[in-house]
Amino acid sequence: MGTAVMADGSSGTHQLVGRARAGDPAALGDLFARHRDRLRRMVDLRLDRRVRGRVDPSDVLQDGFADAAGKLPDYLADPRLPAFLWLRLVVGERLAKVHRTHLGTQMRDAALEVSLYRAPLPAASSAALAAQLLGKHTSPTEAAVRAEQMLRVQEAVNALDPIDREIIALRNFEELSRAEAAQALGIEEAAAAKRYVRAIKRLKDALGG
Amino acid sequence: MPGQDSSRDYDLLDRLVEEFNDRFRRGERPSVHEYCEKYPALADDLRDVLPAVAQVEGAKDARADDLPAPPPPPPVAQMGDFHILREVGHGGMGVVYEAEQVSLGRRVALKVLTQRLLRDAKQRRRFEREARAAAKLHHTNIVPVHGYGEHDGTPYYVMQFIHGMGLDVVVEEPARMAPTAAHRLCSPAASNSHRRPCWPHPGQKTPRNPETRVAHTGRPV
Repeated sequence: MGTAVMADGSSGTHQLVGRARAGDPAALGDLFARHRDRLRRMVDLRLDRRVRGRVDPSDVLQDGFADAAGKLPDYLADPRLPAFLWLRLVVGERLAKVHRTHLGTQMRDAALEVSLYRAPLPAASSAALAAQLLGKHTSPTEAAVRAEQMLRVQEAVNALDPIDREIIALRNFEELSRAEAAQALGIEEAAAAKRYVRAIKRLKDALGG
Repeated sequence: MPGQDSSRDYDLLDRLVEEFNDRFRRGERPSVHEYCEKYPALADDLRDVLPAVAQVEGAKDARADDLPAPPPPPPVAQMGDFHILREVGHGGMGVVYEAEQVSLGRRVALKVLTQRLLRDAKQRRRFEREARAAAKLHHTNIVPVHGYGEHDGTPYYVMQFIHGMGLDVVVEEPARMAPTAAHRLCSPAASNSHRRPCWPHPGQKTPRNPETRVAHTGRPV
């Protein structure tokens, strides 16, 4: 499902822009619904674990939707990004705000990682990647069944440097397309391709395969 | 390694990995060998890269495959004052039952926190918060909450029982009405809950609990 949308991200954008300009109040909601799974994964991946007890990813998503509704007129006036990436950016900004509110000065280490982005999205932490691999509601018994394979991948991903980890987070965990990942990082597609293939090779080495 | 940093090789490799990822996510298990035969010049690279991404995607997959079966209905047919009649629906967080409140002799909807989440303090708080938030809202399109309680450590809350079909049915049945109509239906309700968009709660994959329900006529009740 997501892939077809990804590969054809621009038609979604045209549709949204067309419908929203025509005054269809449901256009944004439909777009949000279509990409909710991927946006949710993004939040799960990037919500700082120190904030997790206090902030629910669902709330971040819902507040992000409210932000998007407020920012829609500006976006429609000048839609530079495909609609999905714009939504992802708005939700990411909301996430950064949540981190600032709750972490304040403890943000230093995260701030360093933010410089990797053109967009102010908090970096995908290795802890969050691990949590994604293990699944939120998986019981200890079920986790144990596949623990070996998952833990191997987890260790390997964590052993990578943040740049490699990030491109893998975008492509394999957020499931962004090549074009989307390049745009999210603010680099050329060719550069993103090279970065991804090299990251996967280093991951392969880390997996010891 | 692609010869002499050839960006064309990286580009093609990247496209192939993307295709491989997509196929994997669709449930296929594409063979690395097939790719190597088709692109012999890149065979060495493909043998490095594809098994590695397959491992990552496979590890991700474990989440879905290992999900526990949907929770069985609670063994008790009685929860305090409530006599459970049937399951109406379930979501990620709870199961909704049609029940009879014995003392008052009335039909109610009982939303019970899923067994699986009982020991999760965060989810319990969230469940209670959901009940409190819903109880604060007063609108014809929002199901009123009558009460909140616990039975043998299982939290539940009580809502008016409303006949009709779930919003999910309406949304999934474009033949009956345009999908956007469902969003329009709940916009008056949205204005009642601050600036929150009226939106199926992101925690619920299919909003089957009858907090927002629509009568057979398609009108909200």
